[in-house]
Amino acid sequence: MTQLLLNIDLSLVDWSRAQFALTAMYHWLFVPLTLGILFIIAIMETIYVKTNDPEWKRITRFWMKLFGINFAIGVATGLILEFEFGTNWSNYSWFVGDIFGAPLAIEGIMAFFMESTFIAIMFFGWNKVSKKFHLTATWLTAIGASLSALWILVANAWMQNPVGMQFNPITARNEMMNFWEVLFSPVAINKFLHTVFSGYTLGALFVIGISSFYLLKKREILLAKRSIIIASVFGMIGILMTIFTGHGSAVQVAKHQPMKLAAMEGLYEGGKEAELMAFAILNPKKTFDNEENPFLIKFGFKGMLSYLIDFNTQTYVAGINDLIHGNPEQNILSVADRKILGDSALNALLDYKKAVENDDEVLANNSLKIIDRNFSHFGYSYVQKPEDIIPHIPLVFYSFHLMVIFGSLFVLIFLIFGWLTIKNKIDNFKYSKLIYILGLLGIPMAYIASESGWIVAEVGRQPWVIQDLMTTSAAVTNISSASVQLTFWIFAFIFTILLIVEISIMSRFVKIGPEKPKNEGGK
Amino acid sequence: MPKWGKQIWLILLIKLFVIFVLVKFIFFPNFLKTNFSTDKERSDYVFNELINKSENDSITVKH
Repeated sequence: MTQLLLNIDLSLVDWSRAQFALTAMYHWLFVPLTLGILFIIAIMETIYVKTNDPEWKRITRFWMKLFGINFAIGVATGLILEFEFGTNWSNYSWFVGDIFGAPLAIEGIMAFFMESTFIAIMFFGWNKVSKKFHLTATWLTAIGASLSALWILVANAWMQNPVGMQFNPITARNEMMNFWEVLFSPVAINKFLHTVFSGYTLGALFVIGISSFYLLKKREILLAKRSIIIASVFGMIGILMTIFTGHGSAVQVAKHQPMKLAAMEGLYEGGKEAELMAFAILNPKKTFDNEENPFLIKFGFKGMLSYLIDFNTQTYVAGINDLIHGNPEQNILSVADRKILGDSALNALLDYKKAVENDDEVLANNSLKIIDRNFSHFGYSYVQKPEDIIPHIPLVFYSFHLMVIFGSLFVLIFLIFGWLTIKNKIDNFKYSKLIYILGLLGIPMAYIASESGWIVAEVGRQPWVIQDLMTTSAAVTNISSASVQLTFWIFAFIFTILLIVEISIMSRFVKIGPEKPKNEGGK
Repeated sequence: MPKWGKQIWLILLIKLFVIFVLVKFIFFPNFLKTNFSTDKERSDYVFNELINKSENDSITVKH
């Protein structure tokens, strides 16, 4: 561990990245539960309104209370990310122009008006508005939360696959030319669906986990059983859609971020019939420029990776070496070639600026043509060594496989819990206790899988802050590294406190349980 | 409002105060807005950053 820390270059870029990663990962601890549990609550309340069964109201109110705790602690933690853009990533913030700003502004309006308005009715409107009005508010809160996520994910997707814009060399900013192209890019659609459905899955696993706790303690049996039925069905839909859209995301990654795909599968040598790893241990001695075997142990399916990205085992999948050295047969340019084109675009940008200042129209037009022609390689001008474009392979590889393994396990969890509850065997099954423990473990596993997904998405695209256009080193603001370190530790402290508060309050309320039914003398 | 509701509101308000007042204004001023007064100055600054951060030397790749 000490050796590992000594090897880390604790520069400004690293600290800025660490700070952003810390903030994003803590923020993401709160978001997916909000996304998922809201729909489960809305379904429960719908059943209450349809059946008029007070037990369903009690169940709805219990989960709403846990949601309220999560929402109160988690809300606005994402705003810190926006502060960081302005302070730590000012070059990036300027360069992306209104493309990033527009979706974030819509997200702010959506989050503020839709969520906050209807959340207030949801929490304080019981017995004050009609049942149907209250139910509508609950559904709109659930839909509003997912729609808020849409805009931030559209902005993120644009960073992974910049489309619908034109670079303005006078202002050094990208300008949005086609809003719909940004909104409906296949990367954005898959990213949004994959992310929100993974949130729905996490919400369902949370409900199953807490219900398992009650079953283990032999209390709140009816609440637990009813909650498990809803969560199992909702969770099963969630995880199947997560897998389906995950496949869609992988297809997009293969098209637009082939290095990320190669890192996800530890694929150094590209080829047809590319292997999909089911389980493998990476060889730590392997680098892109040596002949070591990439794996110490591996168990994979030959041709499956090619098949998954194109439904054809004969499809060529680019490996790390293809992307470093180039592969003319597959029309893949080397890093060196792309750097020449990136340098050309950057030099043309400098020429254009001078030409405009000197009213040299011919030079300005020629420079503009070179910028337009080579802008898709612009970021390579900041790449100093070929290996700079390789992300941290072990982190991406293991995160990806952990996410996939846990995702498969979640299918099993939803099947087992759903089937046992529907058959009314969940509390009289021979191995019930083991099943409850599995249900409880589902909660941390869901969070680990969810965070792993973001590690794959964000570490996997390094060194790019905007794919092929801007590196993290070019994006960072020239401020003192010490100030970034200071705020890193402040955030680490604040977020850890918030997390401890959340877990302790939630644990307390889970132990207390739902309100007692009215006829038992409770409130 | 139940006691737990009041506690949650208190936590929320303290957190918002910390985020918007302490964190935003003390530690996270907007770099370009704070240091430059016009968009022209901001774009010139970022333009120079883009040029200066580039390494224009060609690179060699082992085959």
